[in-house]
Amino acid sequence: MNQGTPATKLGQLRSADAVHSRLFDDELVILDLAKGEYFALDEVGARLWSGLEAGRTVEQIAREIALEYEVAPDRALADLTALSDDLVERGLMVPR
Amino acid sequence: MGVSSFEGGSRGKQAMTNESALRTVRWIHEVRVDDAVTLRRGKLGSQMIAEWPGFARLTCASDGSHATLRPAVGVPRRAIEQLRDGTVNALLRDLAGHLTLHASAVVMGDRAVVFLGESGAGKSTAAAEMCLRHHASMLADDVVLLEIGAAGAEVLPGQTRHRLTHDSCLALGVAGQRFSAGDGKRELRAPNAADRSYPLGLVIALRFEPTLGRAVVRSLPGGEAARQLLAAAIRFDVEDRAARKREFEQVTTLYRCTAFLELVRSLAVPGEVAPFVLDALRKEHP
Repeated sequence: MNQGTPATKLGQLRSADAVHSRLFDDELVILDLAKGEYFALDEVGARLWSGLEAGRTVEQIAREIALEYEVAPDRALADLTALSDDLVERGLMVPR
Repeated sequence: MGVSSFEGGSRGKQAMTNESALRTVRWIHEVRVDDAVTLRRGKLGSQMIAEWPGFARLTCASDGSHATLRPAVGVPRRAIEQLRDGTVNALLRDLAGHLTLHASAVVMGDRAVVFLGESGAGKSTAAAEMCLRHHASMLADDVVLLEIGAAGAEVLPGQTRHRLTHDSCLALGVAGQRFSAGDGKRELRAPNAADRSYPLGLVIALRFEPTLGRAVVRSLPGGEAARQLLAAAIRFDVEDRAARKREFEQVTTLYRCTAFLELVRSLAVPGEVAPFVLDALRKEHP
């Protein structure tokens, strides 16, 4: 439904109803019960996921990541937007 | 950074099938090896069916009760016993809500050690090496039965025989007994078999990397540990969402209560696994 629409244009996101996630140390493992698939996100990806779940926007999370990891804000936003788009395209995240 | 996907499942190449009916059984999942179906699972009304074509058929209720295993004509009794004590037990336990892994396991001291890995990674040989040369007690050759609670994970006693390739027998200096299960493996009764459950102390993922100079041991990152555990889980009804969610929670608990290491070797060298296991146990459970 939202395929092709950038995540940043979709506003706030949340995990889909059939999706469950658990932290394995720094990494987040995601189970999509709808498709019977598993996914893994690294530490930064896990930060994006938890931030979106907490109701923050991709832009807000990118600013936090840029400060914490000392990367250029534009670069952080571009990377997190691309990952958010991927999560939406795979049906793991949906608009709130 | 990125999202990486992986499949869960149990041994061999697997493919979903849309085949709707064959003698009214709705087949929901197949395991294929070299394009031949070696195991298929399905439903017949309220009954669950697992079939090893030309070998045996398992019928049971959706909770794993009222199980009946019918061998095909001419299948040796010992081969059926091996199937019953291994995969059949695992499938029924999944329906009853317990996690079972395609892995091997032994007891050293008072802790269970589980060996994970792809087919051919040396799981059975590692368990045999520990039992034959280091007085470990056997818990499982290829099917590890787990009880997972809030306090941690316990490994239940299961199989009592090693099943080894001819090369592994040679490397370990044992003869083994010919065994007609169709995979050319030899069977060897474990010198010591555990007669009770033991707390899980260590999980070691085994892997070969031919270009590696010497064996290395490293901690296993969380996502990779989850991938290996979920890939090793033996499942009956892959469509059962509640069962898959429960399995995910069990795997999470298992990871959080246990030390995970990976042992990467260039090739199988007899006697190579034990020093790593003993050292890791000393560090994790002094």
